[in-house]
Amino acid sequence: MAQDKQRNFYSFNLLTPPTEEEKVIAFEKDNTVFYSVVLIFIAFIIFIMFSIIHLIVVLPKKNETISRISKLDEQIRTFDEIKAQNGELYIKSQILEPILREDIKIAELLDIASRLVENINTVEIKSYSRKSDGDFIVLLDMQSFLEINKVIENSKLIKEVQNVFVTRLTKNYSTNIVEGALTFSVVL
Amino acid sequence: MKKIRINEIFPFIKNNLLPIATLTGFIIIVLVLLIPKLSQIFGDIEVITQNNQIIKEKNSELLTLSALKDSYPQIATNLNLINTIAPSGVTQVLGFRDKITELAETNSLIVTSQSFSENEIINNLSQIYRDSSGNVLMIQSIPSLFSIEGKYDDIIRFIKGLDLIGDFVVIKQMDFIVKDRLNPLATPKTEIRFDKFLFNSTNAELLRESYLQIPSTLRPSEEFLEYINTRYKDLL
Repeated sequence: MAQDKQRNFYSFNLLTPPTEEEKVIAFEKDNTVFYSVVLIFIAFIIFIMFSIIHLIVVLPKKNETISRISKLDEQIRTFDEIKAQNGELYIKSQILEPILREDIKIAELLDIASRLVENINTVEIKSYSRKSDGDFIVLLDMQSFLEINKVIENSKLIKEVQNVFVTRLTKNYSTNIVEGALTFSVVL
Repeated sequence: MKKIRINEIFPFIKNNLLPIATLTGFIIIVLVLLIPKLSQIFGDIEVITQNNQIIKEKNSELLTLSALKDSYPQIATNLNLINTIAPSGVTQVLGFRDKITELAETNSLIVTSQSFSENEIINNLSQIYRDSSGNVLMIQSIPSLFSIEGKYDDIIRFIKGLDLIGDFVVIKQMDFIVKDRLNPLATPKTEIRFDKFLFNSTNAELLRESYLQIPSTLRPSEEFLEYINTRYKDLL
């Protein structure tokens, strides 16, 4: 049936069917096997090339960097004592620094308080104390109410003193002494 | 039965099966050998890049450490000062009390009362440093309240002398009565709350590891160092 169809096909074709001899020549000329081998061979060659590149270029470079890192680590280890001391100093100072800010710095307070009454001979500091919010209170004894103004004028000249308030001003009529309470914060 | 001849099968194999087999083989080589090799190469190149970055960082750390070596005497001095004023491990409550009393007596003052809170000594851990490994460095405070009487100038000298006792002491509260209105002849008196600080650690060996983990680029605050160097200059 198929042969009949082929025969019919050729019967309408102007080309004559290839002879057996031509078929053999065409078969021999076909290079499918060669190209198949070449394709597989090229794949292997590419693999081998990559392997060689990996082995000759990449791996030595990688090993070199690893050995450089270990050498540097060794060099860094020689500084361990200095590093540990710097670390200890850093940590301890980080811990102590905020504590230090809680110090009311009495010496500075006394100095500031004495500057508040500087050149005012009639004003005397009676007591110093510090409130829980960090503000300082200085109790003063004065001859008259007006002398508190001189103290405030002096406070304006001291740059560390801020938020000055007169919280109390009373006169003791038996002694004729005016007692004033001055509240202020100190920025050092 | 039709006899199969090799001459008829071979062209069929050559034309149909061989290209398929070759292509399959090629794909297998690509998948099994080439792609893993390529990913290995790229992986190693990635490692090299990362290592180069690490080398760069370590070289820079080495430079920092070399610079740190130059300032080593200063670091050692500052650390020694901190360890002197805020030592580790020992509470030294009695020693501290004696120092304050002695300082008051040296300045002709009378200590009318003094109190320490043992509970606070144990529980008042005002600050804790904990590193990533869980190592802990604690700062312990010993609060104490002293009532002192004496002349104004002596009290001032006493207060200024606190810097010389060689302890990290913070004064958190103070009442200083120079003149009593009800009793003008009474001597000035002061009530001061001192907090002495000590370091404590759970494991000294592990703590050293924590110190080593601190990057060498980090430096303690200059302001703090300047302060302690000025305040405790006599201990240097």
